[in-house]
Order: sequence, then C-alpha cells, then structure tokens
Amino acid sequence: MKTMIISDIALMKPQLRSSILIYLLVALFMIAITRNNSADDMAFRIAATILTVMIPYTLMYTIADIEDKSGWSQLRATLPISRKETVLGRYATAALVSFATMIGTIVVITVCYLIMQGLSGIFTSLGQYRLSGEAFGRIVTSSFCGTCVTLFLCGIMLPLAMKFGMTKAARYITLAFILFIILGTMLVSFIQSHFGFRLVTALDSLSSVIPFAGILVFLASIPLSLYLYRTREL
Amino acid sequence: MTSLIKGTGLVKRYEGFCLDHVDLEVPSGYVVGYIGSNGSGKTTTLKGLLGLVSFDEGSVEAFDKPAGEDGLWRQNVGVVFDACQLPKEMEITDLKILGKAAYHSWDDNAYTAYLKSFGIPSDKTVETLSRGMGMKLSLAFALAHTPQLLILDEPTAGLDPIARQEVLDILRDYMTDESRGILISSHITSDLEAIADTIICLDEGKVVFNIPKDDICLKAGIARCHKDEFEAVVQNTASIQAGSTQSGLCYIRHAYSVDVLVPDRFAFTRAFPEVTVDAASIDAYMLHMLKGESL
Repeated sequence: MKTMIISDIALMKPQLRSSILIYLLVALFMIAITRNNSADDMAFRIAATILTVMIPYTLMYTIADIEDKSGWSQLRATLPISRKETVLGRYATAALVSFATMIGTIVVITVCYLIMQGLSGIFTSLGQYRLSGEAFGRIVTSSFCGTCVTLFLCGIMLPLAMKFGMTKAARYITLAFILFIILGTMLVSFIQSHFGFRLVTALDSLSSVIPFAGILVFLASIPLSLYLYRTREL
Repeated sequence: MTSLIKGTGLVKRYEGFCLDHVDLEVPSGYVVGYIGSNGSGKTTTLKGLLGLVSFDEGSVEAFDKPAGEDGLWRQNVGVVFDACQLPKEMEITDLKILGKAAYHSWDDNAYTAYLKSFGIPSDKTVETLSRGMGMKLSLAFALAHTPQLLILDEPTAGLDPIARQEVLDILRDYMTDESRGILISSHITSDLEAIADTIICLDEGKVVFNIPKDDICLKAGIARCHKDEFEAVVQNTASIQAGSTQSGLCYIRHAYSVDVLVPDRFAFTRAFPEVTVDAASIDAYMLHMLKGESL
C-alpha cells in the first residue's frame, strides 16, 4: 500500500503547485471582493469549501487520468503490489490528501481572516471582521463539510475509475452526477407533494449529520472498488 | 537450472480469439523469444503471466512456485512494454522514490549508473525524452532492482538501429549472470537471432513451434528447388525429416520454383547436392511454418 501512496503522491507532485495556486487565487478573490459580515463570514466559508473540495478532487481526478493515459496503471500492476493494495492505497491517498487540504485550508483561511481583520481597521469599507471562537468554528466546519463532499465525490469517482479507467469513467461520472441531480430533485418533489413536509427543512435539521454521509459513501465504496478492480483486465 | 516462469495450458477466450492451451517456460540462463503475427496472442500471454489479465484455464508458476495474487513474486521481475509507460510528467529522478518503495532490492546507485550509461538526463521529466530514450529509461527502471527475470514486450519496436543495438547490448550484459532469464516478444526477428536461445512462435493463439534458435539459424535451411527437384524432395520427405520435430515439410510455391523449409540443411545438401540451400532465418522459418503448404 505504501508503494501505491508514494506512486500517487509522485504523480500528484507536478500538479500540486498549479492546483493549489489556481484555487487559492479563486478563494482569495472571493474573500477580497465580498464585504464581510462577522455574523456569518459567508465569503470565508465559501472560500474554505472551494479549497477543500476542488484541490483534492481535482488532484485525485488528474492522477487517475494521467495513469490511464500514460499506461502507468498497466506498468504499475507489474510491480510487486497486489490489486487489493492498489485500491486501498488509492483510497488512503484520497483520504490523506483530503484531510491534509482541510488542515491547510483552516490555516490559510484563518491567516486570511486575520489579515483582513487588520486591513479592515484601515479600510472600513471592507466590512466587519472579528476572529472569535465562533468565527473560527465556522471556518473549521466549512472546511470539514468541504472535505466530506470531496470524500463523497471520490466515493462515486473511484469505483468507476477502478472499473473502467479514467478515460472511460469520465463519461460515467458525468452521467452519475447528472442522474444524482435529476433523481434527487424528483425525490424532493415527490416527498414534498406526497408526504406534505418540506424536505429542505428536514435536511436543515439534519445538517450536522449529512456531512458524515460523505464519509459513509467513501467507506462504502471501498469494497465495491475492490470487487471491480479485482477482475479488471489491464 | 531453475524455472523462472512457467505457463501450462494457458487459455484465454475473447470474442473472436482464443489463446489455446499455450505452454511456455523460461529456464534460468535462457533468453526465450516469443514471436508471431499481429493479434496472435503474444501480449495476452505476457499480460496473463504478469497477472494483468486472468487466464480462463491453465496455471502460472514463477520461480518454481504458483504465481500468487499478492504479486510478491514480481519482486524478482522487471517488465518493459512496447512504449515507455512511466508517468509522463514525473521527473526521472523521482522514479527512484517509486522504485525504492516498490522493490526491496532497488539500488539507487545502479539506477543512476544506468541513467548515466544510457545518456539519460536525470533532471528532466519523462515526457521530454525521445522514444528511444524512453525505452532505455524503462529498461533502467526494470533493471535497477537486479531482477532474475525480465519480461519484455517488443522493447525495440520503433527504435532506430543504433538504439536497438544499445538495448540488445544491455540485455547481453544482463545475461552474463546465468541465474537470470529473459522472455522477449518481438517482431524484429533479427534481434532475437542476436540474443535468443529458444524461439516460441504463436499463431492464432496456438503454439506453432517451440525450438532452440540454433535449430533454426544454424541447422535449418531453405532449399530453392526447381519443379523437378521438388518432385524428388517430395519422394524423400521421410528421410529429409528424420530426426526433426517439425511435422511435415513446409514449402512455398513461386512462379518457377518452390522453396522448401528443411530441418537439416547439411543433411539435405548431402542428399540433394544439386539443390541450392540457404541458411534459414527466423523470419523465413516462421513464414514457411505459418504460410507454407505442408507435405
């Protein structure tokens, strides 16, 4: 499994700088142009979510794509690692990158908050900033939720990539997300019209539990990936 | 003599193709050349031996033990495919980290030495290398853990003659240790004439012949017969074939002559001194065996 994680990180290395830079710029731009309200710190929460979702997901997607196109997935299978280790290593990388990004995001967004707090003393038009315990909590929560979303996305992507390789899987992943949105919308309408309560309200009350669903989907997809990759012809 | 890898009764069925009970073995000290036309099943066999595809029937033993799914036996195997399949954007020096993580016996110094001797710059990415350099890099990666067995799928395809010669020299050096072996598939039979000890030919998923290379290059011949000479050869088929494992004499008709593949060109010359006999090449041998008619 160690070999697989090292292989993934080595594949990621050339993409790391550009991915971090792009999404960091997007996040900073969002923070810079939004007048903040210290009651909700919306821009910081959105920025944290962007970083924790986009960086790890893009990296995981890219390495699956690179290994497929370069033929590395085939050559890697001739190394002394089992198929089980390959799958578990890929999941370990996804978890590692997601949680490392979460920690990095919390640090970066907190630093940004402090900088903006300092600047708001000079430029009052920037809005209200006060890094209280609550504000820090909101940054942590948003980062954690973003990480859970990433794990959910990886939970959908990885089994498909394991079965078909990324070139083919890209189509199925798009299809899976379109179906998820369409069926999800239909389900919400159905529940609202037949059972007479607002699902969105119900989901709001479950909001502290829902992020963990991402982790559950991620964990549940591991045996599926193991099964699908075991029989894949490389 | 240890068996480095041995496939017995290997069967793989695809729609429109069947690898049909193929047996092959690479003993230590041997270079086994695996030849055949496109789509004959060579790559499928190699992939199956390595566990990249699963056989429907048959068994694979590596180093005299069943080749387990854990892949640990591959600690002792180096693999090169027909193109450089190392990640394109990876720096050449980073491959060391990968090799070290994958192989217990990975030798950083050997890897660096190979890079140096192949003239590969270590500070570049894989994608900046030419095809020839890419193949040499693949070989350096495959050799740096000093494997006992090399499995090569057309490693010289698309290389210029100089690069091909360099690759062959590397393989010759590798084989100076007799505990090692190579299984190499190639369309470039002149490469196999230079390094192989045994030739296995596959056609439409079946082994057509599996013989020592010297039986082809040093012993067999192509008799250039006129039609009347061919009639005489036909009359003596049994004596020409005596002591040969080849089933039936294979021949190819031309407008004014018939080329006959004879298993022993020296014996044939003694029997038919008036007939010209050329030494057989692997190409000619394969062509007669696959496309010739049989007596």
